[in-house]
Amino acid sequence: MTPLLTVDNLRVTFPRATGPSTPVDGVSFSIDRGERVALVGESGSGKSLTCLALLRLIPHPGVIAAGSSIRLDGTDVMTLEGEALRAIRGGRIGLVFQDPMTSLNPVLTVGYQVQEAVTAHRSMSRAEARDRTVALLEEVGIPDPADRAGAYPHQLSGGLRQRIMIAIALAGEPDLLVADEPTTALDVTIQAQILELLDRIRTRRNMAVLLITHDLGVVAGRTDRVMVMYAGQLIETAPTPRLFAAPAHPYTQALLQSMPRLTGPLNRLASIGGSVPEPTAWPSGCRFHPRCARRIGPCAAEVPPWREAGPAQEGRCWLIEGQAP
Amino acid sequence: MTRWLLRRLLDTLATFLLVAVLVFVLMRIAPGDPLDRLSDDRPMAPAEQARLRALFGLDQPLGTQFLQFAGAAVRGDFGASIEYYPTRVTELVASRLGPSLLLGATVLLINLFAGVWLGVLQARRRGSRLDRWLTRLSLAGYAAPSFWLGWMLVSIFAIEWRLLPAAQMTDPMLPPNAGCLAQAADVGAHLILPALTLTIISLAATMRYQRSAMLEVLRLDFVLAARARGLSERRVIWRHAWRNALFPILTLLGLWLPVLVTGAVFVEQVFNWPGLGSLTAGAVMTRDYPVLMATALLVAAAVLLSGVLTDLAHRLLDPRSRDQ
Repeated sequence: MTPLLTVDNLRVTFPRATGPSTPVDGVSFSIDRGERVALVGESGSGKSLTCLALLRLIPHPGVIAAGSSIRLDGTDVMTLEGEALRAIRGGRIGLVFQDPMTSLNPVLTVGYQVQEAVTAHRSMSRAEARDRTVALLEEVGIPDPADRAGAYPHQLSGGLRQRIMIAIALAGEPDLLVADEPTTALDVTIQAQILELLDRIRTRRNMAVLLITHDLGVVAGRTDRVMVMYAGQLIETAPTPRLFAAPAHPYTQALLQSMPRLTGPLNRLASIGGSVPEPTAWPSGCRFHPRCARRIGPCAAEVPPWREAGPAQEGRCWLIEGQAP
Repeated sequence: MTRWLLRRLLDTLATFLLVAVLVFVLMRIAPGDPLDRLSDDRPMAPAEQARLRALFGLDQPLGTQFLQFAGAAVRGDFGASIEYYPTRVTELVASRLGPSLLLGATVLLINLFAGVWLGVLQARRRGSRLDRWLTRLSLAGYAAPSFWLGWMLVSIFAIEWRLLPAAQMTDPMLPPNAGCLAQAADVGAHLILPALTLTIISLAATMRYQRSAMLEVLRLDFVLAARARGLSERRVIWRHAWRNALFPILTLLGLWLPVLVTGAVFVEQVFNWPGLGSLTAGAVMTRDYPVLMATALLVAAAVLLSGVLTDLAHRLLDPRSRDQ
């Protein structure tokens, strides 16, 4: 079976006075139908730009570099224009944004914004579109959906607003739902509700989900596979249980160690020294080497190749002793 | 909402009364009076002067004069013009209001459509050659003095090429029994040059405001989110972005609405356009108190009311302010 989405050597560049910056630099992955994948990384690692690139929505003046390939169900997304490209946006890939307050238009009712997403992808009568809108609002758990459709974003709570964003993302019946840190801007109590909602909808609709997060705690038990991103590149990919049990890359290990735990002795929380480098000047060799506690001879000079670290687990580190995949 | 509007209107009324008193007093304590001007051509006998003063009520104490004026004004009577005696002021103003409204509304509509459209176009093509040239051209127009620009246009289009009439609003040679269409065409031809002059001068402001408001909005998340749900570019730009970028334009239009009635003094002078602007300018020269009072109050009312209208439009168009 061919994967639903195949991304190959994706590079996003921004022209800068000092030379081009490359916040996404050679990312390749694929997602199967119905698969739940997490993309994990710190702020500035390029994960948000990666998901915007899937819809060819890189903000001006950024561009997706030549040689990048995005294929959705056999269609080459990179060559699409106009109508065909819009059919992908929302129609095949739905996008849930981080902050529902700023992602909803403040002067249009939420019902209007859901409904225009419905009619953007199939033509139907106004009454039909209205019914469909109310059904979507109901599906994402909005009480009194017919009533709330007339509300403006500022009249709803953060949790309800994010539910609206999810309804909009679902409106075009997408095969892949991309959720870019869907709970970061929400209260902790609401976060779990939204994640549960996403789980329920995924099960019911059996679509693939790409969950983007910087929080490994969100990933466990919710996804089949995790991809770890660092400095514009993927550095490890593994089945979720495997990643938690035996992380192969020192960066992944450090990430896991910096997660606070509810059980066990109370120790000082580990953190990774330094910060993600700037995309104008990625470090040579392995991009994590300046912050890596376990770096060895070749790390600073040579880019480590992908190596098999376990069943369906691959990592990009000189310390991994497996074969090339 | 209704309570807000009522309170706003009451405030406006209070301001209006204050303006009326101020204008009345200032006008009378300024040096010179209408009789000086009347005696310019020939010396006037003291008895004749006294008779005229009594006729226009200028012999009364200031307070009495104001009360008499105010008492008549609330009944819609602004007295007779001194310069054009015995023409009533209301009649004079009414005859000049139409041409001012015609010119002002034409320019306002052009600004509303062309200015907004060009500003949005510039924002969408930010940094392009088109954007830079539109900025240069519009600023050049903005910088041009209106009387000079008016004269340039007249000497090119009316005198050199003889394409358009140079002045007035109608052709005096047009037979009075000419058809409706011919009359409209005549007025339209006379309208082109003054409207063009005012447009060239004012369009830059609309374009600049619209461009920067639009740039501000285009980088917001909800525009990206609108694109991500597969909406057409037209819908993203106009329904989502522009709908949020029209508030500064609303404010700007509110500042211009009064020009609809006040008329544009310089341009009306250059083109001899029979509007309120030239009436007011003339009345200032001749100290025609009743006419000045009426036009000043008209301007004050227009300014104050367009302020209320702008606020009202903001409230109606922005659901966030509606809920406050």
